[in-house]
Amino acid sequence: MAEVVVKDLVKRFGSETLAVDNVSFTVGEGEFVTLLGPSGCGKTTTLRCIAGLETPDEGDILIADEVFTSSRNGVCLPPEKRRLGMVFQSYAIWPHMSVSENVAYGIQAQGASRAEVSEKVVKALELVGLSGLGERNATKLSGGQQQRVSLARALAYNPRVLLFDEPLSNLDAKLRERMRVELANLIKELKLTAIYVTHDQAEAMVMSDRIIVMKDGRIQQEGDPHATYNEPVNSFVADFIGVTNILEGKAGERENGKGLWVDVPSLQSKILCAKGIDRDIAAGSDLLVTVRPEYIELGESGSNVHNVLEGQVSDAVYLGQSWDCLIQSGSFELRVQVRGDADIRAGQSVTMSISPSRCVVLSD
Amino acid sequence: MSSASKSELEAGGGGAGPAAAASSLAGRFFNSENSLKIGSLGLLTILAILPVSVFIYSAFVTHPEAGKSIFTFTNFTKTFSTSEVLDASLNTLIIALGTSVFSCLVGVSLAWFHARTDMPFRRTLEALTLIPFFLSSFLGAVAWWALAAPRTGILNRWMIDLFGLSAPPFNIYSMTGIVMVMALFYTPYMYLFTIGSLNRMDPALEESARVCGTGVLRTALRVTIPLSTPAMLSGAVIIFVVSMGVFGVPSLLGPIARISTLSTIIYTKMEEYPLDIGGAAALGSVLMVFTALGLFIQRKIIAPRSYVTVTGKGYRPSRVSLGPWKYVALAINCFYVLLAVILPLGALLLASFNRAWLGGFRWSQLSIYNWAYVLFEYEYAVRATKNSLILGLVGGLITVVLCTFLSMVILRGRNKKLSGAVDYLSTLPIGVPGLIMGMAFLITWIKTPLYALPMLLLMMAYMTRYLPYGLRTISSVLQSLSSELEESARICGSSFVSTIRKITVPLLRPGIFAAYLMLFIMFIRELPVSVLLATEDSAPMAVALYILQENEALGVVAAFALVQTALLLLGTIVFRKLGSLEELSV
Repeated sequence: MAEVVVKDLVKRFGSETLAVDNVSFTVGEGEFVTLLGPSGCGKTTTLRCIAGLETPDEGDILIADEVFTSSRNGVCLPPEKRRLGMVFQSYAIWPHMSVSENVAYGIQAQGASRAEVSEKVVKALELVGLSGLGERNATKLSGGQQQRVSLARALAYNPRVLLFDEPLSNLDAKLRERMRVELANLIKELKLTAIYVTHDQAEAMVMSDRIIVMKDGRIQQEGDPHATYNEPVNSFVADFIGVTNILEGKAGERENGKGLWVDVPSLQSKILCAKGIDRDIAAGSDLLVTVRPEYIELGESGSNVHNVLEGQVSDAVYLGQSWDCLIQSGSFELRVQVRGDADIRAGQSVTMSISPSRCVVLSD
Repeated sequence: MSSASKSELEAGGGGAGPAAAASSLAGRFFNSENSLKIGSLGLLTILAILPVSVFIYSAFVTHPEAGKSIFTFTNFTKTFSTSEVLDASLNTLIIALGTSVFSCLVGVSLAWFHARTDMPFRRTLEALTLIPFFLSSFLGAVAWWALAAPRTGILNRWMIDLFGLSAPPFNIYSMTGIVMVMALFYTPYMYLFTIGSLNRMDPALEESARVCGTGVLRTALRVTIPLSTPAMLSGAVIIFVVSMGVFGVPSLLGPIARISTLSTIIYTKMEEYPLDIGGAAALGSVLMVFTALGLFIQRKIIAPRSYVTVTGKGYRPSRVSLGPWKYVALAINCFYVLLAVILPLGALLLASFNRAWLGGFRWSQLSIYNWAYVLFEYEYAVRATKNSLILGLVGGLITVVLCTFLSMVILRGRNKKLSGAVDYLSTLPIGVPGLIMGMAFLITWIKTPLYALPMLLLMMAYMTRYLPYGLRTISSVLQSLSSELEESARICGSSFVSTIRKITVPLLRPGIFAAYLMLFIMFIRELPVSVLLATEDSAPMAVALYILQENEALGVVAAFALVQTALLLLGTIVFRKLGSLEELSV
């Protein structure tokens, strides 16, 4: 059952800026969906429309079959009527209230009894690991703890959907990595539906069931982390998520059951691509192919009869677990990731091979 | 706002469920937030737009016979063809220009000494330098009248006695006198305008100039001062338009030397027979246009060009070492304090403690009679003090509540178009000089039952005129609060109104207190709005001082002026105490 339905959402700021341009997606019950994109891509605006903090110019938003926003009918429920939970980037902890008072606020607004409020506050604080800190002044807590207060506050009144607006981006790197896992686990444990906004692709990969990549107010790609990473639809997605090589080429012939041959002049070679070819591609048309650095193998492995390239290492940076290399092949400098125990030096001549299933033809 | 037709509304309503039916388009528009915004627009229209419109209307109307009105430009042509008005226009420009130039020179220098140099005693001197900011130029005029009136002035007497001069050296009844008093009292405004940008300037900008081989003074003149030019120009333009509309100083010091300004002529036309409302309104409209134009230039052209960006880091800029010149800076600052604070307040103090003033202080005449008289016996003065306290405490409170409310309506909530309209309307009064606001209220409400409640009318006029100032103070605090604090409360399920009550107002408290005290100070010293609007019973302190100065002995005037000063300084001290509290809490 679709818990959240966003349909044909459009939001303009002023007359010129189109912040959200015809965005539609659904989020299933208990699903964790991430809106991912660079700043200004419309992900936060979309989230704020769902929260009721922005009034969209067009489109519908339904949650659990209840219409929250419908421009057609002039419906736009105010945020307080939506019973959602939201965690903000700045945490938005009220400095004039203690930790407990912060967490209690939403429960009180639902009109709960005093006993019920304190019971739920204790439970929420326990969930986020802040038991016993209830009487503290919330702004005196550390960033990570404030983050937990903010989460407890959003969880405490059993919201229908939890919304996250870059909640981890103000934390330091180590803490951020820990919180990612902890937060994702907690949400799975409580079987909550969550919509999460971030510009950090690693965060999106770790936490989400599904990632929606956005750019310039439009959805670029929608899929689980694995598919988004391994089969990006266009150069924006390929480049935004992870590191990649993007090659310009011309479509050649199809080889039945194996893929499409693409002539890549800069590599002075033809490459067989097995992904991204489920559409009509006219022979001779210009196209782009993406290959991730870690899928380029060094040495002549027997399985890869296609896509064998010769090259010379122009630069190799040692990162511990791996080498980050630039390998000149033809007139193109390929970025290649090699295992850390490999013996590699600049100037060395190498043979590389790429499995056709790792070569993805992009749609732009 | 999209406008769905009724049929669409019904057609779409079927599948949309109960929630959709409950909040139709009308329901969406008339939610609590929009009702509040429309309510504030209505209130502002009654408070500000109505009187100003009536005022402008009356500038274009004549009444050749009772009950008949003609739309005409006669008021303008007739008024501006008299040499009296032409002279007054010229005087107004000279006073405004002189005031802004001199207060700019002094204010910028003092600000530079305080913000960027190692001049000694900066803390003490800053407190003293800012005192005139909290008093009023009219109080300054009264004090300088006591000091430098040609025959009776204390300074003149001293100089004659000390040096055996044959004629009094100072004459405050002159253009120079008027400009000097005004410049002395507007210097702190300039100081405050500039010091912020000087304090926030990245010291590396100056240090790199020094490294490039320029000296202290050259660096100040070539780098520091130019970088604060937008702030300074803003200050100068604002002082220019404000002093164009100033009434108290020229009306006190001008008449003897036959110096009139646009504002004193407006007053005369409204107070003396034959009444000339049309002429006064015509003059006032011109003054208003100039004021609005000046403020427009400041807000739209100068202020946006500021080079100085506020950085989040609270570094302390390093100071320029002036060497022996720091004593010159010290002397300049002390001289300013002497002219603007010590001499005026000293003269009033001396005069207030002598029952009969014979040109100089006499120990044999030492008496608290004047004080007892104005505080307890002199009914008019006692009532004026009460009136001012009521206006300051109650009027200030109502105004601050309105300002808080309006700043939230402007800065928060989702309907940006309505917010913009409210913002625009509530800033308008800044372009209306006080005297004109008073006159507009007078001619709008004189024939209504409201005129029977002069204190209420005064309060409304004060509220309207000083609304933009209170609003600015509160808005700046509100702007610094992340709107996510309120949004998260909305999402937690509390409505627009209850979010304001439980989240916004408690967080705004320091700003609200600061605005209240500032409005208290402004209301206690208020002269221009009140001078036409107040009746004898409702006269506030400044109006009473104006009347006393014409009719009473110097000692009584001085004591009364000092009562007002004391109230203002008390407000100031509390204000500064809370001001530092506010810094701590942010």
